[in-house]
Amino acid sequence: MAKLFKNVWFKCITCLLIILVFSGSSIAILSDLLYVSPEERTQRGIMKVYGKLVDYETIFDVDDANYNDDTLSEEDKGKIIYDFGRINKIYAVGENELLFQCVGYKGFKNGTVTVWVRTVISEQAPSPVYSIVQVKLEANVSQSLINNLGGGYYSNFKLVDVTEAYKNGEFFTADKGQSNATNYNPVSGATYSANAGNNAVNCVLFYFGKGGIK
Amino acid sequence: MKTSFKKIATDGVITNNPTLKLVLGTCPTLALTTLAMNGIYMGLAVTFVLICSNVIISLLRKLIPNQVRIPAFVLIIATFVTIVRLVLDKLLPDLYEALGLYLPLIVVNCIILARAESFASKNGVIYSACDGLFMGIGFTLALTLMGAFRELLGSGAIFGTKLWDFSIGFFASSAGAFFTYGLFIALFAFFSSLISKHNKKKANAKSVNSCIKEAE
Repeated sequence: MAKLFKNVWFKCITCLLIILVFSGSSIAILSDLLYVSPEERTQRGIMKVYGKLVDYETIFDVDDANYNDDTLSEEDKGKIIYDFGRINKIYAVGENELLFQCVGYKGFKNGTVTVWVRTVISEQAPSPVYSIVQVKLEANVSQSLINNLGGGYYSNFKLVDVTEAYKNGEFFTADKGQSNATNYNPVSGATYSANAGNNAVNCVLFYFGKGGIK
Repeated sequence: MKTSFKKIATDGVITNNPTLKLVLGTCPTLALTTLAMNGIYMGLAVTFVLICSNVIISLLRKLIPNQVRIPAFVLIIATFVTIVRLVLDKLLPDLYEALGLYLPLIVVNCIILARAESFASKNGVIYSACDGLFMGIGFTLALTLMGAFRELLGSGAIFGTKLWDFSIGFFASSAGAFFTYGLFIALFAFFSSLISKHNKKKANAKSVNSCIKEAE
């Protein structure tokens, strides 16, 4: 037995095991203390837009409803998934606001830009009017020039009547060559990232244009 | 050579600057220096891990068998990196998002393992803590300066404040990161050689003067 305790490999294994136990237990305790719940993560995202904690109700969340399962009807899928982007989350905030988290495709190196789009619904005869009032960057994939999209870029996304714009064939674009480029929003030096951002906001435009999830 | 606080400080920040002289921790240096603030954030995270891991490794240096010292060091470093991740995710989520993938990659940052192996495993706790602190300061300074340079030229801003509309996209790209890194290493080497030449001249003049005095 004494021989075993003096063995180098026994000492090595014991030493590593002791460090492992201490490391593991301290990490286990801390991860319990510092746990971030999915609700807290959602609140953080919403805080970016509103600057304060607000009550919200989830209408659609990609984490709960897989695009490929039967949670959504084919018709509804067509309202949140497009070839230029997709809607990840929809929250109802207060009585007349909808908050969207959208991902725009076709950015730099085929990357994506994720934004929050805040919309206000005002009840007006004969039908409600949906307006885009605020757009905020959430994340990006491979967009090394995303910082070129300054505050001016996001404030250009204001749109008073989204449904009307959709009916008229309008959409946001960074490409001057587009025939319906009435909402032209490019950024010199970061055209692809600007394109993905525009695509993300266009998801909301198309969502309302197609009538939204029932 | 006897260890002193002054030597540890000058080694960490200037003489053996981990980024510009030893060319360690290249991955976050190239990837995160698009913004000056990213440099500060990454530098502070690395400094914290450096200090903590150096202290623990220095404390355990006589208990860890030589054969398993590297796996033991990596375990200790990984623990602190995980703690930093958990704390940042809970308390500073914006910072956590800004550092992204590069935060867990601190585990394999050569600066930390190199200091553990070459300094903390051979020196006392206080010296090791100081070494971690000053190496961290050297790393933070280098990353912040590079970040400021790239942000200024790549986005026309500094610390998030837009200064002008003019920007050169190249400096915000990966190629720009390599170019900036090379430029900073060259500048650092140039100024280091100037200073060492100046110091040599000073030392020579001193020895000549003392010889003349002795001859008189």
